[in-house]
Amino acid sequence: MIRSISLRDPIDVLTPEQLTRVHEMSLDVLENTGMKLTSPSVLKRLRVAGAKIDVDEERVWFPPPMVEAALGNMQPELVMGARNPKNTFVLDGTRGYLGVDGCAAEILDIDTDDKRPSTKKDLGDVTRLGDALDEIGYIWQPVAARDVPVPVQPLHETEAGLRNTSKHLMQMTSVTADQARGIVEIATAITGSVEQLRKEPIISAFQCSISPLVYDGGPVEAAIVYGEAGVPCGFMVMPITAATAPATVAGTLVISNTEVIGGITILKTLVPDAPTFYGSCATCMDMRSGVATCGGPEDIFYQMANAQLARHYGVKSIIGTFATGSKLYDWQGGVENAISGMASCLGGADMFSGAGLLYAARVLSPVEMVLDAETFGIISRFKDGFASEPEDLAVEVIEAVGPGSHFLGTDHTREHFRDFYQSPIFDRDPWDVWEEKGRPDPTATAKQKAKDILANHEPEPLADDVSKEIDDIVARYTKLLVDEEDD
Amino acid sequence: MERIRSANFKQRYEVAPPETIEKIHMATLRILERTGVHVGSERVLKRLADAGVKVDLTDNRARFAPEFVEEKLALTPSHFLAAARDETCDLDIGGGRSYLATDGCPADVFDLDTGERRRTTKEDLHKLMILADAMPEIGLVWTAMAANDVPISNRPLHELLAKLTGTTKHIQQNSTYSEHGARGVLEMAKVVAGGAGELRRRPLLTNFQVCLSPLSWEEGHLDAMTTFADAGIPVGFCCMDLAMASAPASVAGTIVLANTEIVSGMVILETLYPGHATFYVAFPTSIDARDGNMEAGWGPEELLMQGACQQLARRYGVPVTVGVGGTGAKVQNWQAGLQNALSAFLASIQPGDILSDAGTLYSSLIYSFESFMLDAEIFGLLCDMWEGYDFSAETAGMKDISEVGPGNHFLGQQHTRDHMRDFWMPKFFNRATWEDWGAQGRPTPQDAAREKVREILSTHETEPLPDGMDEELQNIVAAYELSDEDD
Repeated sequence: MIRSISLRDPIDVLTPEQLTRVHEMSLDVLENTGMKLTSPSVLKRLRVAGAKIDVDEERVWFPPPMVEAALGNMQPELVMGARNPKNTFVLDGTRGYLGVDGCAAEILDIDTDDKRPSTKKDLGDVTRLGDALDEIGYIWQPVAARDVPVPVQPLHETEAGLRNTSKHLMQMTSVTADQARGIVEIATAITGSVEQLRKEPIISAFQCSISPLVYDGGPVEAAIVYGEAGVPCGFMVMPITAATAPATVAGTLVISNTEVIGGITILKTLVPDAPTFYGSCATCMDMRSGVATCGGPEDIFYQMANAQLARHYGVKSIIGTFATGSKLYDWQGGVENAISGMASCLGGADMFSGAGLLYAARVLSPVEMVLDAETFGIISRFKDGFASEPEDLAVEVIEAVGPGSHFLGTDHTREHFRDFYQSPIFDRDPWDVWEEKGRPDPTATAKQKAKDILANHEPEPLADDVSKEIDDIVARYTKLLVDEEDD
Repeated sequence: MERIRSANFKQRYEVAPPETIEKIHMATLRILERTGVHVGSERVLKRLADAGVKVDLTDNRARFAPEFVEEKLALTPSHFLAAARDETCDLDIGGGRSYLATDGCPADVFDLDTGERRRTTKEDLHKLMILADAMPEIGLVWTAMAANDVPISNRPLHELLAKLTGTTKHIQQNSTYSEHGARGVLEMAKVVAGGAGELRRRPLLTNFQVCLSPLSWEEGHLDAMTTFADAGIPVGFCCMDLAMASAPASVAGTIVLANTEIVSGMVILETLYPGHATFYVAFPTSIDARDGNMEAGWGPEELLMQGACQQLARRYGVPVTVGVGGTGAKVQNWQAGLQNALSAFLASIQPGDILSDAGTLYSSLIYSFESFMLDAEIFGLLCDMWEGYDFSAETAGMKDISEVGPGNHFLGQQHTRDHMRDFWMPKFFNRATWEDWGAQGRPTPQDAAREKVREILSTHETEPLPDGMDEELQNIVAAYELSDEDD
């Protein structure tokens, strides 16, 4: 059973005036600075729809009414299907879901705590781990399959993903229309029909901008393929303050919001009924080392402000969450991910992406994934609140015990002590026991859990004929995209 | 440079709806009327009887009619002055800003040099006060560690001396549980303040008394309370209920008991000293249901109890101290970071006037100088985030966005140079590149914190007491050691 989080009473970090200002500045940039879009065909279609373009400069400028019309045309709900229907969830603003993040190029070895390049096997393993953890609702490809041919890498990644989980799969690396077509074919092989895929899309995708203000043609063309197939395709931005965005919180929010709503405007203008969502992993650059911060107050503010902007537009959001800047699961990792998790939850994000990442999303760690799932579980239980029926208020029990006694043996305690959440990972051993055990780190429990799952968890298998059909699709696209290119 | 960093936490997230808060209040009224509380001091009991409270002298019980409780609660002031030796460090507690305090009062400390656990000394406390004096994140100090190396009879006086010579910030004298101790402490405070009248006008210290759960106020605590109140010192009331042991095995029941205890303390105070300044101090937690260990942990239930107690204090219009931090972890690891950041985040959206708990580990059984620095870092991060950001077109860099245009970067812009230092810079988070971090032997945040502790201790000079005052205070301390028959 997938664990989700209540999104009741979201906190608005932007005042209504600030929100309006960010929106108006975004419209201003889209209208007057425009975006670079390296797809002549899409540019021309946008011109027909009323945008101003310059094909030589690969630039598009959007009139504000075009943007407002696109934003005004959102579905109130987003169905995120899964190949096992019990894992299907619906985004309607009431519950939030955690996803395995990606797409790290490196993985932290579970035994050595050293990083190394990731492989397709890692991708399958980590996906299986996400499949086994209740707190994980959907799965990106957590690491890159760096040992397969690049042109069909996204197909291999989708295949490995679907084989290793029966949860919703979010595709993040398809950057051409051909790749998107192949992935839609793979998904259709599982759903059995294009209609069923449209009704309960078992995959979704998103495309990334290149900050500031650029969309490559391929990813946008891929988004259109997904949109036409009814597969949700969002737009995800990752501007870095003081590098690919201005050196202020306001400037970075303008850049991130402009890019997301620019992408949404392109897609919804060309495919009006395309399901889409609003994604942001905005962060800052540490001025001393040049690395992304992922965990400072500005990052937390971006999470909440972007979730608020999406809520304002009526678009479902996916917000970069967790993904500590720390290089190991240590004190800093705990602090940054606690705050980041609370921020996305209290900020009302529909999807939290980031379980399992370290070093500002550059390294994936199976142990960190277990820890992030635990953090999400704690926050979701906190968000559920507490019961206050007479049995819970326990007035009679308190009065019966009276001053100076205790509650240890009471019936009420015996009946309810199991209601308290006992984290399997927190160390609550007495000092002496902890010493005898050799002062273990609490994350050792998470490491063991990850190892146990990787050794034992078998995802629901694909039917043999479906499995073969997927292999055939990958082979066909390999011939089309790799072999012919080599010829 | 500002000597005290504080925050105006404006956001509100209610963990419980108003009707639940009312149910808890009604449960409190019922228990106070029917069961009442144990009042260990006959003097106090008689004064309560004189004021019309129903008391039973045979079992030292006081019972309060609901109207009486409401009437007394209405007398509590909404804010009070917590004065400091350095007047620029005066605090208006309840005036809308949140301050971080050192936690207390472990009997053990991790030795700064050996890293091993040992008993605390007066010198440890003094060193910590110097750190607190230097750290802007610290607004006021508790007796953070017990002075185990001095006699019990005048220990609170020794502890006060260590604090007065270590810092010029406001002092919360939490470890004084007898009339004898309170008299000695007040005698010292009068010397520093310049007389009883001055101390009343500018209370350099505040006090709080701890309830023995369930529902018992011990003689020494009550007599210390009246002694402080006689001198015009604000007195708060604290409970440390443990669900399943000294409180019921439910979140709601533990909150009911905690609230009943604190309200009873405030009602006693307001009955004897109408309009006297007081504050609400709730640290409810739970035991480990698996083995009954008393180690507290910050699970979802603790967060809910923390949040609900904040709401109750606000309902009564009294200033509130909230326990943040206080991790159950034994060292600065992932668990310590996670637990302390979860509770700190909650304290920033369900804000307390005083956030206590900087510096402890192992459920407040062990103090750590490094943890003290690290907890301050979490507070600083949250202060920065909730201060908010400017959203003018100039700050957003609208001109630069248009100049830079798509596909470029902001690194060289004047706007970037002007604003790049506006960003939060961590003192202890490690943001080095993986390669640098590896080359440095993988330093931890606690390594950086330890270095900072040593740097402050070797360079910071606390404003000394006026000439001769130290000696005068030493004499009082010595005098109270001789007359310890009261203890």
